[in-house]
Amino acid sequence: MAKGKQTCKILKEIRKQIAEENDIELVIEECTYKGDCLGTCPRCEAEVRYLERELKKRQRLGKVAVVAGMSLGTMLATTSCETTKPVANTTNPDIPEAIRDTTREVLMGIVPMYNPVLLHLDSVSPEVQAKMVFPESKRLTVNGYELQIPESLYSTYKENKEPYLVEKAVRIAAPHFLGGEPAMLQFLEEYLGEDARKGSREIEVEFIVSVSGRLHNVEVVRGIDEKLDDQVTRIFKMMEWEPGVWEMESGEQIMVTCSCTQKIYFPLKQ
Amino acid sequence: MVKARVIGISRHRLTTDGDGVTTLVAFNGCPLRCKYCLNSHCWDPESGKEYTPETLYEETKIDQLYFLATHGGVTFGGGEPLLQVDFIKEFRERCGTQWQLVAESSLNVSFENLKTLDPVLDGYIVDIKDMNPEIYQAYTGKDNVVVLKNLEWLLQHRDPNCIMVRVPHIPDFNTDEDVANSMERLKGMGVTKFDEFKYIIR
Repeated sequence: MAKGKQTCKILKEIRKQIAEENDIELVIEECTYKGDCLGTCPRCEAEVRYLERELKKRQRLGKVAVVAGMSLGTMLATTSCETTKPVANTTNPDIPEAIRDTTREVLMGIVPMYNPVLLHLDSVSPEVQAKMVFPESKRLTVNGYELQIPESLYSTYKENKEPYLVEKAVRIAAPHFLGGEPAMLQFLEEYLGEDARKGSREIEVEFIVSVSGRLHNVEVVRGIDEKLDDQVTRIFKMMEWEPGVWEMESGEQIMVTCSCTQKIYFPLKQ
Repeated sequence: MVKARVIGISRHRLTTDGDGVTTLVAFNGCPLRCKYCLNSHCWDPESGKEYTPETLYEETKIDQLYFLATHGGVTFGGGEPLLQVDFIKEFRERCGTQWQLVAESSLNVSFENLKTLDPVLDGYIVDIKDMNPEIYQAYTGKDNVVVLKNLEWLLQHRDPNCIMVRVPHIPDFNTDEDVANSMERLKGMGVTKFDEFKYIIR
C-alpha cells in the first residue's frame, strides 16, 4: 500500500510539473482516499486525460507543448500529498448538447483501472442512475469486449466474500468526438468526399469507446450500401473520442467504457 | 498479422526497468528453464492474452504522457522478448521514436534475432545468471555460449551505458565468490552498469 501511495505521489508531481510548464490551470486538492492504492485511480487517470486534451488544444493554437525533461530522481526524493483536479470538467463547453440527440450510449464497464466495476443501466437517459457491482469473475466479456479485472483487487474481494458492492452513479459527460459533433461531421466529410453530399439517408453505426478514446468493434448496423458502409466503418476506426465520465456517490469522477450508437444523416450538414 | 501472447502488463514502474516511468510487458515463451523463475507460467504456450502490436500499443499508450515527460516507455520482458522480433519491430512503428523501448532479456537467443531487433531498441537489461558455464547450465538447463557472444557483440556495437547487466546471488547455485568472478569478467568485457542483487526464495 505504501508503495502505491508513493507511486501516486510521484505521478501527481509529474502532472503538476506538466501543468505548470504549460500554463494549464489545475485545482490542487488533498487526496482523501483511505483504501489500498496501486499508484493510480480514476481521478488520477482523468487528470492525465485532461492534461492531454489541454496540450492538444495548445498545439492546435500553434503553441509548443512542454512535456519532456522531468527527472524522476528528484521526485523520488520529495513528493507532495496533494491531488489535482481539472478545472471545469463537468461544464466543458466543448461538449455540445446536440450530441445527445444523435449519440446514445450504454455503459459497459470500466476498462482496467483499479476499480473493477461493471455498471448496469436500466435506461439510457442522460440523467440515469446506475448500479455498480463488482463482478465475481476476473474476466468479463460484454458484447464481445473483454474487461480484465486486476488480480490483486479480485483476490481482496473474494477473500472478503463481498463480490458485489452497490453504488449509484450519475453521468457527467457522454462520450463524444474530440471537438464535438461539428468536428465529427467535418472529419467524416474530409474522408467521404463527394459521397458526403449525396442523397437523403441515414446510417447507424455502433462502436465501443474505451477510456483511451479509441473506438473498437465498429459496425454499421443500419446502412445504405456496402461501399458507403465500409467507408464509414473505416473512418470511424480512425476517430479519437473523449470517453464518458460518471460521478460516484462519493463525488469521485471516473471514466467509463461505453457502447455507443451514432446516427449520421446524409447529406452531411455542419 | 503478427500476434504474441502476453502474460502480464505492469504499469507505472519507476526506475526498476529502465529510466523514467515504464510499463513492463511480459511475453509468453522462454528458451530457459530457470529453477527459481518468477514467471514460470510463461512456459505454458497457452498462457496469457493474445495481442497484436496495434492492440498492445492501444493499451500502453494510456501512459504516453508519463513516458514523454520522464524519458520512459515500454520494457519488454517475460519470458524472453527477443523471441518476438516481428512483433517488437511493428510495435516500434506504432509507437514512434519518442518512447524508450528496452528489452529485459537473457540474451539466450539466436544472434539474428538480436541483430534484427537492435536498431529498434534503446537499451537492454541482461540477466546474466552466472558467467560460469556449469553454474549457468545447472540453473537454467541451457548453456551460455550464445549469451556471451551476443553480449560481446552488443558491447562492441552499442554504448555500454545502455546495457545494464543483472548479476544475481542464486541460493544453492552460486556463491559470493562466483558472483564476484562474474562481475570481474563482465567488467573485462566492457560492461559498466551493474545490478547485483539476491534471489529471495519463498
